[in-house]
Amino acid sequence: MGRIWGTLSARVIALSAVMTLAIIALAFTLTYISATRILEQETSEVVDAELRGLLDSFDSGGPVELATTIQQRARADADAVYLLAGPGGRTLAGNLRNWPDIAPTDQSWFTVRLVRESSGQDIEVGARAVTVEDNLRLLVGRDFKAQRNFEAALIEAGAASLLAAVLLAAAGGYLLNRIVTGRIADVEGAARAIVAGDLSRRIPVRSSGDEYGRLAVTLNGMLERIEVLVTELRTVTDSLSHDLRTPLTRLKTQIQRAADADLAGSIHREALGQAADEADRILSSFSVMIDIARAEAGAAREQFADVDLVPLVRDIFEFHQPLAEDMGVKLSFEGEGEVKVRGHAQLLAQLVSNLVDNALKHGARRQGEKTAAMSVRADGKTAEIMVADNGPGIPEASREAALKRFGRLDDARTTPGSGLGLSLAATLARTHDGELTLDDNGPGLRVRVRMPLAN
Amino acid sequence: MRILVIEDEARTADFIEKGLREKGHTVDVCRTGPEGLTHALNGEHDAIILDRMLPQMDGLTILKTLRAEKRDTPAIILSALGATDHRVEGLKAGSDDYLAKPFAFSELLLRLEAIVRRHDPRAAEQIELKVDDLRLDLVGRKAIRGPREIDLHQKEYAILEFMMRNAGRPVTRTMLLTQVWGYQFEPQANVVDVHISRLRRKIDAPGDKPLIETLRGEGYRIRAA
Repeated sequence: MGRIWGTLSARVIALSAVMTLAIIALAFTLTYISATRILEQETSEVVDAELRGLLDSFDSGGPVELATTIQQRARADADAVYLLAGPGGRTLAGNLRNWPDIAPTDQSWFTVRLVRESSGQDIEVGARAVTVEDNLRLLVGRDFKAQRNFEAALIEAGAASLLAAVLLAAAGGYLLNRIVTGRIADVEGAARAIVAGDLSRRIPVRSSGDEYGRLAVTLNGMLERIEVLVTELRTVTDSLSHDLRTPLTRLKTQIQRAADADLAGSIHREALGQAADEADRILSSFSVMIDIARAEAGAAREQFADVDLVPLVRDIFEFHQPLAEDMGVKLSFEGEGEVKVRGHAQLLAQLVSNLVDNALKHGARRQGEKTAAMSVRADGKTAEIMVADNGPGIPEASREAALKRFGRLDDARTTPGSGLGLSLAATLARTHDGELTLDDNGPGLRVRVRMPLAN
Repeated sequence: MRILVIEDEARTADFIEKGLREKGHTVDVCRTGPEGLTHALNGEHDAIILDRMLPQMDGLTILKTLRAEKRDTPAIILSALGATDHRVEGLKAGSDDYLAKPFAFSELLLRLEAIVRRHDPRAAEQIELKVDDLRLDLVGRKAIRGPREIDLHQKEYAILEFMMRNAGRPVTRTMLLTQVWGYQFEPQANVVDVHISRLRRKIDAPGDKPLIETLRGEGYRIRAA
């Protein structure tokens, strides 16, 4: 019980039930009071009319006729009581034993306890009395038994319906409380599971139409987003510790070597130089990660301007051309006219540069003729940058993973680079309301970035 | 040189001040934005090193105010905000260079000297740069080594000019990226190294004395004249 009263909904339901019951009880009491009053009023009027009738029969037939009428009526109506009292209170006719002490004889209504002649029963009576003539008094009344029975029945019915209302309110309240606490327990259970570490837990959606269903759907959406973010963070942390442990260990080895005092000066410098290179690589991984984070947050949007992609991509082509030659990859560029987009020139250049880096790195892994192609063109209302190589490509199943942070394919782990290139490019494409897609170049990988043309 | 350092973080400020003094420069340090702006407006300094996030007034505002007042003292921003768009913001505000924290003091010094030299009115009047037997004709835009004219692409010429203007001092890859190509990001591959080795092959014919040195972990240096 203590647990049930602990819930807010139970308390609200109980309060509303108590108030409803109080209103029902009040309404019943008022009904009861007015019903008994009306009944008594009616009885008093009937008695009044009968009294007048009996006085009329006295007027016409004298005491004998009156006594006869009374005797007849007393037999006919079980509830009616009559008493015709003679001098000294002697009973002349009627079904009562003796004249009540307090009976006023001015025809006014009064209630009194009397003893019935026949049964000797002590009964409650509503009556009127009158002095017919000297030493002759008449009392007409009605036994209250029927009215009292009716009143009792009324109370019984009222009590029964009140009891039924209490039971109904309790049952309804219990049910409502169970539903509400049940739904809340769903949320609570999911939250507890998540706190305990099961991030994939969701709130069961019992019906999507009601407010609890909608709440569950909304909360589940939020949980989905949180899980994605946490998983991403976890992957980053895992990959970071994986990717940084190796260079940091190498760095430590090189520093230890340089710290060896017995070494010749040139080897000393060599080791320190290698250590500096290693530190540079670590720092550059970090700066790319920060770039991704900032691009995701859309931080550069305020610096957006109209940018012509043709010279931008051509510059990157020329920038990478000597590297491609050194790697034995035939790099080509195609693009003419003007392809203007709304964007950030530096970030777009970084995007294209990353794609070319990637194409050269993977294109160079091919035996035989190695090619990489860059192109930029306008297609309807869309600008399209394409960078393709004829290297081993990425199997269709792994393409999505390749775009995630640190989503470097396992077999590529041996080549240098932090594995962030494609991921950063995809993020930068999104920053420009664009989309990066990976396709088969038969053989090789074809990367396409499509973004809206400037107006 | 007399250098104004506007930096609120005491450790960094002390580190820069000590380093610059060791190199024989005079240093004034300001800890807040308004104080820094007042000093900068006096125009008594040869160069300004400033942070972005400063108490009361940020570094970009100082620079914009300074440039609006036609003070063209060469300035370099030194900031923990190091993303590509941050750099562009800084350069647009009127900074001559942008160095992200954490930084190596040697790089700060190199860049500082480079912007001061670039700013030197004498640099614009020069018509020829000379290192050993390598001459760079700034008017005809060609390079001549000994009797031989070297055929250089536009970017190769730009690299050589930048390195010869900074002859005897190390030039980092980042400096080359920003000064020659205008790129504010780091490419993943060692693209700059390939350009340098091409340039090196062109200027050093077989038997010639090699003029461009590689400084491991730092960059490159062309011999002093």
